[in-house]
Amino acid sequence: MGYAVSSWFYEQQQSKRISPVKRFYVGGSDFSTRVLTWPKFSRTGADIIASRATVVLDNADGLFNFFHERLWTFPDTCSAKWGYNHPTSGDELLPLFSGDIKEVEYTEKQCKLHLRDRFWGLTEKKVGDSDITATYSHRLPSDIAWSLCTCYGELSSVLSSNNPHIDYATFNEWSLQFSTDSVLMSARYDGIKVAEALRKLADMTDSAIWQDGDGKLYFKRFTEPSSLDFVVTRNEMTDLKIKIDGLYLVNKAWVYGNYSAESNYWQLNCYETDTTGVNTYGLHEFVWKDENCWFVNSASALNMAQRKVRVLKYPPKKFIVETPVIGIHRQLGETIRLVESFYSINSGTGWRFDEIEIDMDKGLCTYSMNEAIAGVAFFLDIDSLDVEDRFLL
Amino acid sequence: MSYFNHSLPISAVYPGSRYSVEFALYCASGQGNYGISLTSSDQSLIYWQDSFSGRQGDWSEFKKYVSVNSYGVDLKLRFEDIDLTYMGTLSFLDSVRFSDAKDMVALGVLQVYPDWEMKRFTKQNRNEHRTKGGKLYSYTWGQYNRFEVPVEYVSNSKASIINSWWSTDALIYFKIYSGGVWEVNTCHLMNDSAPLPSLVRPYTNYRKGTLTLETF
Repeated sequence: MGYAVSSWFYEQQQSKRISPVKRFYVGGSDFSTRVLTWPKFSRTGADIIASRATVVLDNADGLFNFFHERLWTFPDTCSAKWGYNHPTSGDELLPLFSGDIKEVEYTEKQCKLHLRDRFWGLTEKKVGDSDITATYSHRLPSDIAWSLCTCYGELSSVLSSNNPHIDYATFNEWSLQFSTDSVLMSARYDGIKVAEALRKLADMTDSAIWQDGDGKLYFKRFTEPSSLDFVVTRNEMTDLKIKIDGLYLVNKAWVYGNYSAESNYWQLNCYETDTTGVNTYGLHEFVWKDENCWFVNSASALNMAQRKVRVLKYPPKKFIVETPVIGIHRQLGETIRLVESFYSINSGTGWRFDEIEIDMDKGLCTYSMNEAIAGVAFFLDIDSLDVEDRFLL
Repeated sequence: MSYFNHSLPISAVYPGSRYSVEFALYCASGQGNYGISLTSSDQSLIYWQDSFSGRQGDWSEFKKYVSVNSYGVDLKLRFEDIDLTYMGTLSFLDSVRFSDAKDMVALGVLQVYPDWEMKRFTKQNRNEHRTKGGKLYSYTWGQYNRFEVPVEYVSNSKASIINSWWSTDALIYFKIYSGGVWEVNTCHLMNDSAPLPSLVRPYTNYRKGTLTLETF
């Protein structure tokens, strides 16, 4: 996990006085020297949402007039990179954002490009329609996702690390988790957008799907704390916020499955309760029930219910920490260990960050760590499932 | 109204290129406004035109950076009186030049003598972040030099050249000589308005102001 950067790159990030290198490309051409305002953008694993960025370019001599003069240049793909200049081997650059031009504004001899990442394209394509639905039966959720992305989303279907749109290594790892746990789902799509179909799939499997800086989609289902963690103390943080959100508290999770679309009937449901949580906070129920994708066996459904109760049984805490650029090569899902004596937080506990906002203009990163995905690993104990009388069928 | 075409040969002009026109004119008798234009040899087409004032008993120096909108060959500089105070004016024209300068360096090297308040800065584009623990992270994105050069007693002719450099955003090689060492900076004039706006009392032919120069 995380981008492979050299130890030298890592050291540069720790430097307190440094001249980073920033690059901005339009369709492969380097326009870095034209950038007046560098983009600020975020990535999140908490939702399927297109990341946006705005770049302001100097257009005093009309160089960028070609966007309106030659409209076919308009849909160019842009990318932004961050790195450092090595004294002998040159620039080592890390891709931070990749997106297509969706809007161009000309004002005061400036050209403002509004970019959106690959997810936007997935909101413009649909899956099936009301006459001929796209259906999947007893499939691994990852197989359904692959089909959504490649058959309907028009992303590359290359089954190797050469796939330019999907990070094949993490996709395989994600897929392996489902096949190991025998998690099977069925799905039925009657015209919803690909992005929405993916969002529902991510929600029902408690997965994170996002586009990273290299322009590829990443698929993750967090299982156990990562050993690739990094520590943030008062010496690295410029701001820290802690939020406790009781709105997401769930101590009794219902998961419905085996949906019959023809009769609009759910043939399976199960639940998991955390008794201590109920006694402390009262009953907080939530139902995971989706008519587009559903589990087909009780083991898979209970897997999901247990997983949700485990991380949401207490009001989850959210830590938002702002730092200079000290770990830009880290990827969503890696663990941050916070040390802040005022709040009595020590490095004993790590939290996964599920959202990062990068301000390339100022050189700041804001990490959001959600306790609800921090989770302690969830291990499916199949032996205990069938002896419980929790199935209502 | 009388006119004459100067014999200076001008082979061709191109749109997008910039040229310099300079000459000196002495009004021996009479005074008023003169017109100058760049015309085709048969005077049917005018590629550029401007006007200037002459005063009886004074030399007037005219130096200007010009550009044209269309291609032309075999051109002439045409001078004419527009509204002289009386006819029979006797004027002398001297040092007429037309050069295809890409920048104002072609107009010659101007030497100015800065006041003691001249300032030289190196400015950095940077962001600084102070952490809660007191550590300082400083990101330097780039730097450039800035010069603020107060000058006085700059002749009107030099001042008009410098002001035209400002108006055309010309590339300027700013050389500083001090203690036997030359420092050369490639700059633009960054003043908000023309850099030499004021006369130096009690003179009417000397100007003053501050040259604000920045490298890039």
